[in-house]
Amino acid sequence: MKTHPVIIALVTFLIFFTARPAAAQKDPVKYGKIELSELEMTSYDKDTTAHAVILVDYGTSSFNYSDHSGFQLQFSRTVRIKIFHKEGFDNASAMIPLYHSADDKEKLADLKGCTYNLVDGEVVKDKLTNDAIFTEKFTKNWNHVKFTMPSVREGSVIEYSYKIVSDFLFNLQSWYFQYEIPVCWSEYRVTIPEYFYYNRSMYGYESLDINENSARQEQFSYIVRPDRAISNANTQQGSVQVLANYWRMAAKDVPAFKEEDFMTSSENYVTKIEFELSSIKFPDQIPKSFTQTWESIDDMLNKEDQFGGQLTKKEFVKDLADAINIQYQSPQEKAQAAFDLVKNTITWNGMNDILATNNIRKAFNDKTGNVADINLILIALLKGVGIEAYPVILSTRDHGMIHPSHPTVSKFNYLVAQVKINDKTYLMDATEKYSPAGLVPFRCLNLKGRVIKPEGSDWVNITPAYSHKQIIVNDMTITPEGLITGKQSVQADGYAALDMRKEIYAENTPEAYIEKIKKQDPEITIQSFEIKNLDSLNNPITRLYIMDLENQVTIAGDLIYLNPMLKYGMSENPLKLEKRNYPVDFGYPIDETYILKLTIPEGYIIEEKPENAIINLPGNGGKFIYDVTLLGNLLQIMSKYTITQTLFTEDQYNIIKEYFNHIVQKHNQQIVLKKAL
Amino acid sequence: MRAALFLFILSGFLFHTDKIIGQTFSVADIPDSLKISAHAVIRLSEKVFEVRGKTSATLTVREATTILDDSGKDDDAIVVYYNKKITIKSYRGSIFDASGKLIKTIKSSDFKDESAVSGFSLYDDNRKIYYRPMVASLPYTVMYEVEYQLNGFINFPEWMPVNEYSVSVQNSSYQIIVPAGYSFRYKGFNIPEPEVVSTDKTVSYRWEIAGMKAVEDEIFSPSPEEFLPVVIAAPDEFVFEDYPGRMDTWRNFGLWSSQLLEGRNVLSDETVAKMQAMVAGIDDPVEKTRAIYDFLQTTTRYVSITLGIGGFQPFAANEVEKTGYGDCKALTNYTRSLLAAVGINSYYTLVNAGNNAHDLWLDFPCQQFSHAIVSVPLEHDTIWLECTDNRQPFGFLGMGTDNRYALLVTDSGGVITRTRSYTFSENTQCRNMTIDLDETGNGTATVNTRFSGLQYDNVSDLLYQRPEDQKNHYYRSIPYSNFQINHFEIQQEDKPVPTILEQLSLYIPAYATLSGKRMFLLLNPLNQYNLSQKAGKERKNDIVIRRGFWDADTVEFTFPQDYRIEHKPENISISTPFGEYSTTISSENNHIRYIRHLKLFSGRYPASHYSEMETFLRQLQRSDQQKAVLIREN
Repeated sequence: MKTHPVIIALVTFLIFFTARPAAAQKDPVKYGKIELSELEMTSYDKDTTAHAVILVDYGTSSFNYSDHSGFQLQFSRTVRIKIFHKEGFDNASAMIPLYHSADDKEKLADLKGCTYNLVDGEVVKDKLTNDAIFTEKFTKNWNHVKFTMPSVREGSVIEYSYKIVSDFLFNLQSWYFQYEIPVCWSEYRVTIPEYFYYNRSMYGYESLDINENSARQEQFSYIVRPDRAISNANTQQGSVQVLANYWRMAAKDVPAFKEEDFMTSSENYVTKIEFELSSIKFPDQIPKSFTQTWESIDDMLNKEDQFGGQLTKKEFVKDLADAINIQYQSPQEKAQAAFDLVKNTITWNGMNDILATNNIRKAFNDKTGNVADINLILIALLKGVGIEAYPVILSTRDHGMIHPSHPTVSKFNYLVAQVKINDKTYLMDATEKYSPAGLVPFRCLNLKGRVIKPEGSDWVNITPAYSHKQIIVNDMTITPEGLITGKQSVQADGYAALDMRKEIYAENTPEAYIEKIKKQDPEITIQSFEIKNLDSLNNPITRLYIMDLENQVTIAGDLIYLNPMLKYGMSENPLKLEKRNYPVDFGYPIDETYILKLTIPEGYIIEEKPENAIINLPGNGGKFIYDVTLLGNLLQIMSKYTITQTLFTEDQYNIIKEYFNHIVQKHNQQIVLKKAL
Repeated sequence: MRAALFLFILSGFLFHTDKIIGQTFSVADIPDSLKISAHAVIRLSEKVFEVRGKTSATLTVREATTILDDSGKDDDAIVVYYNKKITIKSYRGSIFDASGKLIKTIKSSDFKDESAVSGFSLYDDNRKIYYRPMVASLPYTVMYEVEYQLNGFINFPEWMPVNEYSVSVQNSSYQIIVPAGYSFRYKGFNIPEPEVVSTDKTVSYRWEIAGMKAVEDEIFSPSPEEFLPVVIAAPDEFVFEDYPGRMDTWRNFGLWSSQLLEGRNVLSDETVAKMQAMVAGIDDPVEKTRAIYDFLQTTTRYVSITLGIGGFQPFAANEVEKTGYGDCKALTNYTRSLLAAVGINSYYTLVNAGNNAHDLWLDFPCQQFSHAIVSVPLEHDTIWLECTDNRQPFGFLGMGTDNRYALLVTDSGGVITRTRSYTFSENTQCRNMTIDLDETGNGTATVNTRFSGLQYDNVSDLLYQRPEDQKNHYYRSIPYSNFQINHFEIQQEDKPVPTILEQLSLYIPAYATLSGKRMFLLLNPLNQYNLSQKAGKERKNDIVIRRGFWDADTVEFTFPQDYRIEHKPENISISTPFGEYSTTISSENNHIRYIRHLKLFSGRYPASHYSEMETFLRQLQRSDQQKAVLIREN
């Protein structure tokens, strides 16, 4: 939801803070008080290989009142970093993003910094000067303040501190407890007067050492002018004790965060806390609710003009809906026609959102829009042809996970359609030109989404309806000289088909695509080709080659050695690291089959062949079959592996890694042909 | 659509009004020959650069590009770069469908305006406006017009009508208009002479190309500037940010550059004294220079800053002294000041950096540089110092700056020189490996490899990584499915040519694959040559091998006593003008020794020799994949 500072202006209520919270805990860091031991440190004992370490990172968020701006958030942060090696120098540069709207902006205050070096036993200080601080207009709404610390060398301790004063109450600063370098101590304290409610969402794999919540009294002086619409109270002036919610969160010795392969967004794994404004309630005021419970989010979205408001628009698709209704009878055909029409006429502008840009009619006329525009148009058209359809909001893989325990709307960035036909539900996304209806793009496969209905909104699993499926059949003959010729068919379905179609359409024509392929591998000569079902998206696509393959065998006298997988085996394990800290997430099921039918030269026999094998992943998570049979002079090899369980926890890492090891090992094995005497 | 990035070299473009009238952008009008291997076709590109005065000029660009396929869409965005020196006066665009019918007029409010800085740059005023067309059906045509105002320029915009692969050109032109009597020079490469038209007030020069087929990427090619049309032009006299200069000769361009350095080399007395104390007792100027370079590397770091005289003038030395950081110009200037403090003369040296950058156009003095380094002339040799890298070995130039012309900025003007080159016999990778195999084909291996010269550059990034990251690098890059690293070590060796020694010990289950009683043994486990591209129908470009190298591998296998060798590949020795390759496989009892040498020589050969070269590369690729076969007795 694009929450606007206007919400603040609506509160016709003035209050002056005069008192600060009583006796708080001691601050974990005092700016400028560097310990000699910090300068003398030569490594971080918990991770001696770290190039730099955050010694302490301390932030606070609280509320201020200013006469002309009303309530403001005040964020302050002090961070102290020890640099051990030159490779850690990047940590001496920093960037602070600041939000601004047309008439208001976040203000950076009291930015100061200092580098400390130990030179011949003396502490030498170099201050960050104003001429080393720059502001860059990054986008329309964001400025970046950038600075870099002076005199940084191996052994330096750098420290900087700043405040951000913000009128944007929805922008209570998040806090990261984890970075790409380790953190010794990270602490965030947040004080929120009882008028404001924020949802807190905690992410990541590291636990907090301190997570305290207490109520405390704060004293205010105030002037209140109640809203006449709901209260007869007089203007009041005085001083009250107001209850405030106080959080103190701290983590000690947080290890460095490392990206791993087969991960969704690092935002899903790094340890952090986020806040989302859910409601504001002042005494004698109507509470202003933002998000609070999933039900209130559902309700808000249904009422939101750029969401629910769009679902009432159907006039603009009426003609198209009528045409579909005349041409098609069954709901399946109608849904397919509606999907194709939207997909083929409206181009995705690459933007993700759960809200329409303006209104979907405009996007329809412009023939381009964001993902919400496109799929809301799809829903409108589906409804127009009498099919039940609802928006499903979700968060893409690179955007972060949705946690049903934390009601928050800002975590969603994508919208697809849920379509009900004859009691079966399908998910549809009309942004991908080469997807069949019912295939949601890989980016959406992030476990959960929420279907928004006028009544009965609920969670839905974003389960892929398709897998990444491919069948390679090589029907070939080998000559005594070792040349392999024949026919190859690659049939791709689901996500594999989408990949192949994208590759082909990346070129001007299928012919141009083949020309490109021909240049890629000197060992393959393609004599002729055929592509079947290129545009028949509901069917698997098939690519046929008549081809020659050279350099696949070793010939030694009467013997021919060859790997029956030819060039099509899995030659390396995709998971090679020793251990894994986070889950392996494949997104979709995988199903890869390879068949070789090889006619061996007259007079040759099989001298040796690999053993057959079947390997199962526990709990039907996947299966690998490798089978070699000989029928006369026809050698037949089948290799098939599946991965049906798409998410493996870090504890299961060795199991899935070992599974791939078996496959690679089998795919390396050789067959020996021998000329019979 | 490529609009030029006006950073160091002004390269830009513009138009000519009467030409466009009547032109439609129907896809049917594209000749078939321009569709071959093309993702996009530049239908029309007209660029007009008009000099208004010594520091003022306008540049107008009108360009229409037809996008043919999904790959072409990758660059269908209109992106126009600008900064404080090059401002945009007006811009607009439109989109046409396949039949050439106008389907959208792009208003200026449709464009987005953003910073054009990527990565961390402390200060950089380069910005861009951009627009991404979203058109459902291919093909379509995107046209845009931009008018720039230049407030100060050195060169005229460079013109390169094609600067990417798989784009063809229907018609493209460049026009330079100067006031009558204005003196400037130009030079065209791979393009005919311009049409010159004079009037009382102006002289116009116009280059044009038409019907240029899409260029395909070919491996071992020269830099694109050598075989594609290019026009460069520059005035003899110019004024940039109040610094007047001449660049009719390299000497004069160097004089201008040295002006920008004037008074910027002052260090505090304290630093001067410190430097002198540091080298006290050292007589050898090489060792003095080394001491200064060490000091530089421990006390400063590189930070990108694009400030000051359009990115030409360095921050003063005492600024770097104070802050400990700077960009290439500032750090180069600072290093020279430190050297001067200990009586070592050195030069601020301008280079055009990049692995495959074109060499300087020597006979056309003008601003052709993107980087600065230090050269220290000594009696017998020159020491080159790259000042932006804290870990660069002393005196080493990597592939970004090696073996090319450069301009020394001396007090008496610019002097052309050539940076250090490394021969194939210096760029070595020398590997010794042992693999002991057990009955089931599991291998225990040790690998010792020395990387030297430019091959040092291939692994130097690893040198100071965290051990965990180094280990993960090996896990990812060693091409076995399943193995354990028992030990690894990577260290720099003290050698005249930078050298890294890497030592690994590995346990590789199933190194040899077993089938029944046979064991298959890949003889070259870690250094397989892979030719990733096959020649198209005909090779067009000359063959250029920019840097030679020499790889020497020795692998000693020990296999179980009850196996004997059933098959062992033949020894091979191939010698060609491009390089040499040999394998020697010998055996004794249960040992096999495999020795492989691959030398590639730097050089340039005509395109007609490519099939000979490809044959050579494919032969060695095949040889690299060979296996020995062992068979169990009884």
